[in-house]
Amino acid sequence: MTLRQFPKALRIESKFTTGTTIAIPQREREALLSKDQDVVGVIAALFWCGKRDVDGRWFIVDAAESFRSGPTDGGSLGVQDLQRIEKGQAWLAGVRHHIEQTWPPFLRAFRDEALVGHEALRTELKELNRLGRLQERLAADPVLELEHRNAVCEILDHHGAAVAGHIFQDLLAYLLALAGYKRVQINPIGVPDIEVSDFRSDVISDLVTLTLTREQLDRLVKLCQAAGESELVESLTRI
Amino acid sequence: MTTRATDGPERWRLASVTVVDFRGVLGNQLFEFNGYPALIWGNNGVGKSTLALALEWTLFGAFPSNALAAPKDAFMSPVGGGSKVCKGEVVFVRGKDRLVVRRDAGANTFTVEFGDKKMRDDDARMLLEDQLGLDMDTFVRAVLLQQSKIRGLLLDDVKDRNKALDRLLGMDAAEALLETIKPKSFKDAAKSWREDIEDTQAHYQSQSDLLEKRFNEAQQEARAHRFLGRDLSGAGLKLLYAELGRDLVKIAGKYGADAPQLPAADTVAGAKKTSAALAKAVNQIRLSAELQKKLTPIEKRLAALEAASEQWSDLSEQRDDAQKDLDGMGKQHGDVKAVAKRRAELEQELTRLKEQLRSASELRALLTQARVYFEGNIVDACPVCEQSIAQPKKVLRTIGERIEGLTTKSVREIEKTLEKATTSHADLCETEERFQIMQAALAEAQKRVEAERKTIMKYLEVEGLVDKKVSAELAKAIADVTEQRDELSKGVESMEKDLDAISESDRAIRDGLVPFLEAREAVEAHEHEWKKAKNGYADAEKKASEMDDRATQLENIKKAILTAKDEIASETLGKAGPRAQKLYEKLVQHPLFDRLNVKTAVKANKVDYSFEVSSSAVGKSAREARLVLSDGQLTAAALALFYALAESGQHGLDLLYIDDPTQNLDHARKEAMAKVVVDLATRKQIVVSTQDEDFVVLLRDAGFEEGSVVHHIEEWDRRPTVSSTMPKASQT
Repeated sequence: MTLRQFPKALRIESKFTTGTTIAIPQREREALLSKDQDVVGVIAALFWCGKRDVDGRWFIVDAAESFRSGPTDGGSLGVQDLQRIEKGQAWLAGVRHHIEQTWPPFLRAFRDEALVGHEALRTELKELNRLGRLQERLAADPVLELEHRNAVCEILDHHGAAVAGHIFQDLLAYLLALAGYKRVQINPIGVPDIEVSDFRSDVISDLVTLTLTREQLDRLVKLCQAAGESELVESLTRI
Repeated sequence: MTTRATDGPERWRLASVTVVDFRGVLGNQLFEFNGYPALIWGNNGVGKSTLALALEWTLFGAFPSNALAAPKDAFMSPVGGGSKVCKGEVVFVRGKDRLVVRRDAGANTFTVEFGDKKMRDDDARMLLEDQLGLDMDTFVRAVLLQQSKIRGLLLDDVKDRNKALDRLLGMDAAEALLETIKPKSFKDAAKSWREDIEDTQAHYQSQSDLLEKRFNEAQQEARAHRFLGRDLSGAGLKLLYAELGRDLVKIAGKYGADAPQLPAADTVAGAKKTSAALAKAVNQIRLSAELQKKLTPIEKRLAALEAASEQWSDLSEQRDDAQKDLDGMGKQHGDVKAVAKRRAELEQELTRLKEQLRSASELRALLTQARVYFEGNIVDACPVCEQSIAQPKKVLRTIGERIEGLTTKSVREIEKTLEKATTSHADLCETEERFQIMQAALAEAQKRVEAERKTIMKYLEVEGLVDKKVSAELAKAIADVTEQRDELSKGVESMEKDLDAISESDRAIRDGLVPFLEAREAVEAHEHEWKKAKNGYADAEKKASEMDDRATQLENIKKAILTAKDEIASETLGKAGPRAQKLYEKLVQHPLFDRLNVKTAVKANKVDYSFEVSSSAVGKSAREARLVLSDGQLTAAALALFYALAESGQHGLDLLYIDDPTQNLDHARKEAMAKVVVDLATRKQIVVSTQDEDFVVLLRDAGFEEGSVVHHIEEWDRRPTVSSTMPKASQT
């Protein structure tokens, strides 16, 4: 097992939907492919479909892998497809973990700007990223699931699905910048939606890479359970 | 009839069966066949079936599951024989080969001999199965043909008919397997797990709905108190109180008060302590501010001056009133000396009048005594002066007149005057007393005024302050102090405003933010609890999925078995079909329904069979056999299928053991059956067992006995009495 792996670069097609499936046209799929093995094409899907466990969380799947094993109709993916594919794509565990942990506080940090408007948000994100001060905006307080869902809902209600989709896309891009991707490119019109690259693992000093055998991992989980470290257990069992 | 003994080298034929102490055979009984067809006949209960059972037991050590689950001593041992002593030996021949099978219940041994091989127990069983190519179920289906096996085809219930056909086709094992495969129980288990999960979810969801409602309302309230998104958290609360703490320090500095330290509001419960500490700190600032220190004595002085002014005013007024009252008395009654003089004069007058009244009273008493004297005595001279009295009667009258004059006039006048003087005297005494009281009151008021004046002089820190100037001096002092107080009050007001703002912020936090954070804490605890519960029922979900997977696997297995069963049954029926048709024609000889069709039909969870007959001359004539054939015809049709299936079986035995084939058949069918048996005997070794003498005759007429062994079991007395004849061919 290896924790916290990040590809050197990501090409991302970001999808936001109020339904339970996302459509990936051929053009978008092709834009995610790269000859460079260090570049991973990713589909990032955010749902608001009335399912408590699904709403407001990003699903991150390797596009190439997804379309080999996932969709049956060739162009769309459902929540269950994504959940199944995610389970089999351990190499994106680091990205997923970062997003899962950081997305709620990140959204809360920029909720007010997001409600003001897409442009205001983008300007703020860009500037803070340039100054390397994105992290400062993140409060230490944990964000409740309810607060996170409320925040997504507020932005959706305020702007409508189309604008909200762009807002969430920009937030995702800079959320990845926070992970250590120095270069962030958002394509409002072209494909892919987001390209992040120049990954520097030293940017996030609190993340470490750890290699364990399955047996060691199981032991670690048991020890954490015995110690009541439920958050650690959750993180470890997710791998 | 052409007969064969051991001329077929490919398959085994029955050579002999030896029965020892088995059921109806007490002692040793040998039945020889030598590979020939055979007829075993005799009345009921003479031991025919014992031979079939002995053959079955010796080969397999058991009986078909629907006959007897396991061999039992009471079933197997003959009356009079010891328990577990039964033995059996079956010999098969194939050309020059011999296969000898022995079973000994007493020794609990099973041996098979083939050539120079002699195997025991499991090895023996493997050798036997290898040579015969069948197991017990196949043996009773394809070799040992008992009419009881086809009785199920005559039953009304389709399940029973299907079951009978399953047995004929060797599908009963598959059917038994299908019955044991029950995906529904796994589905039910999965459903049950999921229902538990759903119940738990619903419980948490309903709680969550309530908490979310409370959360949203509290959030609205917090927004109404102008709290921003960043404030709506524990960190926000901490920051807000930290900010208030800093503001307090600033205010304290501004107004020269002690700088208070607030405890950090790390938690919502802590916020309450911080709020209480803040209220205390506000009060401290209020009390310890420099302005307040200055203001307090000034306010005290002002209060004292105002009180003194009021007191002075009251006392002055009281004194003036006393003076005014005294002056009014003076005007009314003159001064107090004149009143005293008048009172003294009146007292003298009173003394005089009282003397006068006393004198008059004495005179009247004297006169009264004189009158009494004159009235009692004849008096002609005065007893006092002794002068003669000229007219004594006149004296008495004069005395009376004097008494009357004194009483009615003089005394009364004096008394009247005295009464009047007494009243006047009392009035004057009272007036004089009132004068004295008023004078005392005035003196007392003046004394208090004086005392107050001295006090005021002390307040004002002046000396020689005359009464008339006291009020003015006081007013001036009050005005000065009031001006000082007003000046300080402005600063205090400003401080109060600042402190009120702090208190207001604190109140907003307590009323707007803290209730929200409490609601948030409740949601957080609930989310945490739900998460824990989810981890708990992740196992249940896993189990439900496993149950579903197993149900799916079982369904797939069931489908595969059904498909296999259908394919095997169809193939078996397909192979046996032409032969069954021929036998049907020979045995049933129906004038219209000359076709027998047995097919399979796969349904949802089972394979059904159709056992139909039809007419080759009439279209669309297919009918369910049991609806158009008589019981005898139906039995014959079933036997046709039974024999055809048995013939088509692939195994190592060239033997059909037909037990009592003519039950339920009429004469014509028996005749046909005899011919069929003779025909069958041309193909393989047929052993027919019957109690039907008509059938024995028919067989004889058909030439069966010519090439066959005949064992006639004539009677039974704890063992059969058998007369046997060998075929003529073998004798030659």
